[in-house]
Amino acid sequence: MTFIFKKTILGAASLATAATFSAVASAQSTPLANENRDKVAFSQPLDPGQTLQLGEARAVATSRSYYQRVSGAELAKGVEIVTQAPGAVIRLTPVQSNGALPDKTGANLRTSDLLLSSGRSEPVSIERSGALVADQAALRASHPDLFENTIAFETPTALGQGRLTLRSQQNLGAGQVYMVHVFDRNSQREFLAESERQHYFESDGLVVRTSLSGASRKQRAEATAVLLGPDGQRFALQATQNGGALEIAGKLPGKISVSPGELWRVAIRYRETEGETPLYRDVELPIAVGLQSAQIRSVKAAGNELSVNVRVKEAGRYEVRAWIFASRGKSEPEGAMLTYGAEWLEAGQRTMTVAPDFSALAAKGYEPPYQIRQLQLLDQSRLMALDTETSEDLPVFEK
Amino acid sequence: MKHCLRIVAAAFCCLFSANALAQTTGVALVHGTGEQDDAYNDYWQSGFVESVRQGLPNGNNLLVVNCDFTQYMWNSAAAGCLAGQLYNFITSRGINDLVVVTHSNGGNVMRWILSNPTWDSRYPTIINNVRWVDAVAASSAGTPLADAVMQGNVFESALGWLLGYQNDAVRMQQVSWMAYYNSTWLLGTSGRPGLPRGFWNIVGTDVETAVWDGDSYCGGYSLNVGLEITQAWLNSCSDGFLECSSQNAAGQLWFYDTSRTRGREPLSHNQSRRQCFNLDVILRNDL
Repeated sequence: MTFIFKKTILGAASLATAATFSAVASAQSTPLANENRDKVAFSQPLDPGQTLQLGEARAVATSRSYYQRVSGAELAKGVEIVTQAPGAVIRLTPVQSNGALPDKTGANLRTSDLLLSSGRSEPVSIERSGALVADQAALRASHPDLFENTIAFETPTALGQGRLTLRSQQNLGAGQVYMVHVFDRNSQREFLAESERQHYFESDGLVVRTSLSGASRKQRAEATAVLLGPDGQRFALQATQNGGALEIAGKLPGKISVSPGELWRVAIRYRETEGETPLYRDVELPIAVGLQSAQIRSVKAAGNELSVNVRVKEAGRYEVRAWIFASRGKSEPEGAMLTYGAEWLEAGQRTMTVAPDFSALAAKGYEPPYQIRQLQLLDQSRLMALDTETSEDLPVFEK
Repeated sequence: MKHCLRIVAAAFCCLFSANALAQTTGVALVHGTGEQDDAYNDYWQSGFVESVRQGLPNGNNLLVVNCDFTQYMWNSAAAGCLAGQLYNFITSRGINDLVVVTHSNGGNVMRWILSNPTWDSRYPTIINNVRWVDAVAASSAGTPLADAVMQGNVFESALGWLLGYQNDAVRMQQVSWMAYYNSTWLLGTSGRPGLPRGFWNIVGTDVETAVWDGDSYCGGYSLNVGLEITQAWLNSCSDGFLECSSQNAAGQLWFYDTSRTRGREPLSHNQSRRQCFNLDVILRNDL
């Protein structure tokens, strides 16, 4: 039986343009993640009773955080911090300014010099407030892979939420720059961004839907969005009102620079600035962006093998991964085996074959027919899932 | 129940191995994020390693892996390096019953190998000779702390604004990034096919930093102080770096720390790679 692909699940094939192909050509110099030339096959029986999700998952990211850059002079005067609930976690980190490292004074932040106040209340010393505080040495010692020069503290519960003022009594240097990260950990208002797809190719349209938990979004909120790629690639996205919802949309460029496996980010900044308890949120939604370097054209069961016809645009190491479903006795078909095959393919029309280990299926008590329920084509050289097909019409092995 | 599953799996391995060939057990210790050239002393410390070694019939069959896990898990310096060291260990010493003990991000790199058997011709040999993985405090679903240090520079003109260690391994361990990798390239999380070998999680649930409590000093008191504030970024069940849900997102639960440790002490993220509260003995007895 032969199954001809009329579409790709990722829906990008029809959008391939001349620009796409030039992008493929321009990506020749990109280092490949896998240049292995060995042909490798593997079959993995699955434990019975597993519930498997077929198809491509959505991309989802949430946030109760925002970031703000401030100067030493502003910190000395007092910087506004906004929270929706008491007990937010604040992190303060010196920043490189125009490529220059902060001087010793600027880098050496002291928690003992930090004051926090609410409205016209008397400023509270962070260290004496009873709230959790960690200085630079403590954070560095606990997480040497994460923190250097950072201090962090919780906002004292007694100060409540809303507009707080953070001030440093330390002489930090007016030109020194700091990043304030506010994690509104106890707030119920979480900003969510999601996309129907995780994988995008050159020139694809991109739509990201957003929502806010806890309460309705204010109509006068400000939102900006940008698509960020590796190596500093940056593309503006449109933030538009769609009824009560905020939608982010744009089109991927025809020419991109890819870094295998490194995800791109849809970054959204959301600000409700009015009222006594403003709401600030920043979120980053990762997506995989790459070249559609190959496509499945057709697939058929040939004897005890699965034969997959592939159109290869760009040489690389490709993997076919088949999810086989079968029944034991009168049970419903369930995920029974993964069968893999990978090899290096040059550009052109190519055929990949994989041979499921039917004896292992039988040993587990699975009886024919053995049905392919999901077939994937993966580019191991560029770490992209190129095709994910879940059609009921995929091949069946009757014995 | 989980313990029973492990016993059944072990018995099956023993029976199968006895029929086929003599069983040669080995253990490999796989470190977490960071570039190691002396993980024996710098990451695990000798007391921990030597205690685990006592569980082996042949004490020479222990490997302490040294790789560059500041890289993405698929990188040749990460999974490629790990595969090379495991493959050479297996083939040179005739290991056919390998227990792999991972800590933190080491679990992700090991899971990369288990999830992508055709990536490299050495991977099937490794998979076929692994008995199971003991994943201590695995960062399978990432950590909000990685989000915190990697994000926030989007709307600033300067790149790389933070004075911290923003390597690719930290970037990869952002929560939403791991969600992507788990749903595409890795096996073992909810809705995904299981891993070809058991991946048994030891979950650290809390951080204790009471100055009057000697247990807080195990593994280094100063290391734990910072973990207490970082717990504020995480759910109530966490080891100071990872939420419990992340530690148990892939594979199967072996145990929550307090159910098996001496004195029912929790294991902070730094304590779970040290000779604290009998962890070393529990791992030793698993060989």
